[in-house]
Amino acid sequence: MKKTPRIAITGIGMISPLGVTVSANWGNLLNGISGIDTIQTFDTTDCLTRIGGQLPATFYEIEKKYFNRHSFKQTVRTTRIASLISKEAFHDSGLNLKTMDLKRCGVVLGTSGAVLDENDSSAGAATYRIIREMANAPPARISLDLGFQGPCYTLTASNESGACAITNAADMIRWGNADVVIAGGVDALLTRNFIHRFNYHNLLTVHNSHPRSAVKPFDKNRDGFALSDGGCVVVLENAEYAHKRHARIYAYLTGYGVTTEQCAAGQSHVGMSNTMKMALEKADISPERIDYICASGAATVDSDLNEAKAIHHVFGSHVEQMMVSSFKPMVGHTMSANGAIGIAVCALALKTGNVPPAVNLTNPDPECELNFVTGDTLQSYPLSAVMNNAFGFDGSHWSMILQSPQ
Amino acid sequence: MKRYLSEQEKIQIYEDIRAYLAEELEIDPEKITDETNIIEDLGADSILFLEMFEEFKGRLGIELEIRTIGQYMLNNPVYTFKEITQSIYMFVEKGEDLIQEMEQ
Amino acid sequence: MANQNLYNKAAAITGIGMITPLGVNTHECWANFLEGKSGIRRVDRFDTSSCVTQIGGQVPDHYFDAELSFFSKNEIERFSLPSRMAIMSGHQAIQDAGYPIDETDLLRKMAVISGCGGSIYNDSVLFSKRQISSTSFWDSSPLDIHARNLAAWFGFQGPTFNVATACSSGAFALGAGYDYACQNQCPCLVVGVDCTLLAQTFQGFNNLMALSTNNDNPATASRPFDKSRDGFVMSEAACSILLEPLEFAINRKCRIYALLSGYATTSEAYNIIAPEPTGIEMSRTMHLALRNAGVSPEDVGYINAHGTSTHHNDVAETNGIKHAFGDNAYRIPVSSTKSMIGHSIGAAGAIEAAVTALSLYHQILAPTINLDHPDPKCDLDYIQNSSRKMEGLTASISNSFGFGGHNCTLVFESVSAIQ
Repeated sequence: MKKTPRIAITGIGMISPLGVTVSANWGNLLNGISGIDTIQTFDTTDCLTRIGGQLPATFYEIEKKYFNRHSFKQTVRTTRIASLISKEAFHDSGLNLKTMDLKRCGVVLGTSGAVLDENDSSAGAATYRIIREMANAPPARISLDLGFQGPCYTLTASNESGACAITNAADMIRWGNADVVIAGGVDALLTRNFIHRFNYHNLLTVHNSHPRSAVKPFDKNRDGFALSDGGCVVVLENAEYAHKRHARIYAYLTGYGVTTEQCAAGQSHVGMSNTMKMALEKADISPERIDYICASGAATVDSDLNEAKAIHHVFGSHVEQMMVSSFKPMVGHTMSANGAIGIAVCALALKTGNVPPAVNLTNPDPECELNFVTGDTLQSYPLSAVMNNAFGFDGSHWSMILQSPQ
Repeated sequence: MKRYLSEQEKIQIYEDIRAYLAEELEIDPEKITDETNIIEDLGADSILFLEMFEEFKGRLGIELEIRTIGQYMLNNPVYTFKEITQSIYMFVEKGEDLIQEMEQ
Repeated sequence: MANQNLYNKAAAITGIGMITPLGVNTHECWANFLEGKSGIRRVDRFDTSSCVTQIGGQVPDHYFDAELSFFSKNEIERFSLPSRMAIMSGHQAIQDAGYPIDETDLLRKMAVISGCGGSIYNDSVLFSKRQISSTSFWDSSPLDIHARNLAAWFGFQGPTFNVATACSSGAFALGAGYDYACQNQCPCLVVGVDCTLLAQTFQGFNNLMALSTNNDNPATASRPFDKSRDGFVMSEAACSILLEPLEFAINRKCRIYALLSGYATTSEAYNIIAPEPTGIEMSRTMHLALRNAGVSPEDVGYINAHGTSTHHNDVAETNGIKHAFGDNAYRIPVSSTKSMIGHSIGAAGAIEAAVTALSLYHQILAPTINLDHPDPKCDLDYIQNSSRKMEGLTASISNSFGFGGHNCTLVFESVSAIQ
């Protein structure tokens, strides 16, 4: 019987309101700096929410630098983000195109499929419409850029496509369909249209006058998340393959849980705890060994309550020791990129021993009491196992467990 | 209706195409010579040709549907810069006559 | 007694539901396929006057009668057309399989994977009478909405997601479903669906000169492998396939159409739009799929081709088949379902998989119609114009290739493989 391969994370690429590189993002995350700001890219006068996570100005310079007129016309913003972060992740992994078997390299990219960027004024000739706007354009572009010839597709799973992409990619390696997979998600939904849609469902914060402290997960005054643009991918690798080439390994992805809840409210604490339990079971690890949870913390009234309740249910008295924080106050909700950013945060936390602080938590909701990360996070904690939660509003939930290579 | 391009007109078209490709691909026009393979050497793709024909059809008043040009290119593919310029001279000069030629 | 090893190497196809331009259920579609009918006509779903191409494959008018007796008025307003077609075909597949959906454990495990390639779906006005934000916060834009609606219809709680690879989405979704059924030993409902009969899609593909413009003769416009082919014909369709873990299907003694014994998905990394012309990449996909399935090329008795009726695809695919099968290629019957119903993008891969499974079950092959003068570069046996009995057919493959270089080959075996 052939041994099931372990899954190693060997590279990360990220573009978010916090920065256009992983190191910029990570630095800002650890310092608790928020990338949420008043929306400048379009007119928000008829919007309830007027803040969001826009990409930094440097992104537009980089975009111009790496895409000539011709390729600009053929792509939408999500494709360009996907291409740039994949290159960063690939370089970060230290993989060598010349020595690897490209036929064993795949791409799984999560995106909502809403690739039309209303703010994208670069929309070019009609000739390119189909190839520019087809849902599979981002992974196809990555495959062309890097020459990857293994399985390659776009995946959409509610607002957690990135999480689904990463777990599917892990399965792809586990089941022998590839050795290396670039997986993650990208979305650029910060548009008038989507602000309207999310406002209609009361999911966005309306703390317009204080953008940086607007998103308050687990706080009494929380009123929703901020919508952001961004993308994040990781390089997943068959651990044996990674060991052979002496790769630097951030972490192992040792288990995950996935459920689709069918309940009237969209999501419930039952579905969330089932998902976390499934992840622990799959990783074959006891709840007491989890040191940190990168919480979903969507900052809506119900979702945080449900998540806190579910964490208490699954972890019992261990919640007193286990650290919890969410990057949503700083990055916002990037939809498809969200689950992938969570994975990146967990991988970097395991690698460096630092975790991002729980910011904007001025009046903790007593009903969401957890051991939130506060104060001096730059001090190293010994972390060996962490959990990333990506819980969707309509009940599609993912929980993933990452363990340190040490 | 047949048209004949003078040498001077041809040179102008030649330079215009070169400038167009250089702008689209954001490269130095000097890098494009007769022997340059637009797809292999410059990383362009066949769709760029379509767009280019559309553009020059307008500029030069070529009396052919893009679809007809596309069909012609299927059977007579072009690769180098020289071949591209030659085919555009031909589209201008032959116009609709090309359709009859293709049907034969 | 079945070979124990096969249990996690093959998934059983036990239910099929189909809505295509040639019918509103599997029975009607299959009968028309065997008769070699065409479902292509002038499009009246939208005003085509601005489009060079004005023909396509619309679902038959009686589909909308069937819909009225299946959905409530409210549901018809709430769900977009592709969602309704996904739900109806999913319902057919579950019924067809006699699947016990009243068991809690089975509801919990069932995954729903859709293959919807649709790139331009922001036309919520066309698809759903309700305006933005009155339904879910996504409306019709995220691609997994049809899978999600289908899962909610039955209360399925396994993973639910969409796979998009343009023209091969349905096949990729089946590949993902195969892995889920075999590796996790859980059932999976796969649905391929796309309704892209829209002015902007027509214009988009016309700009790429990919569509046939044979407006005067709709029924003969889609002519894969024929000398006079001039592009593909766009159509709308949905097809659901229920994949069950083999052991589970055997134990519940249900009818098994065929086994999905393996697949391969690859990326050409060649060109965003054109296939690699020598077919070497397509051949690699077929080869890998057969190897994964443990089926030898000599045993393949039928190939359901991608066969789009575009200049490039049909030659590259023919070359690919020759690469993969050598001299044997000339002895294997090949046909293109798209000759009859056009290209339904995401649904195509699922429909063609269903057709391949049905041909193994009934031991008869559907034809390639409109093949009057084969292109000299396409010189295989394409089952020209009328269906063919094929006793002793044990293994078949179905090809799907998507814009962007997303290739997939699915391998099917008849149930005799386990008897």
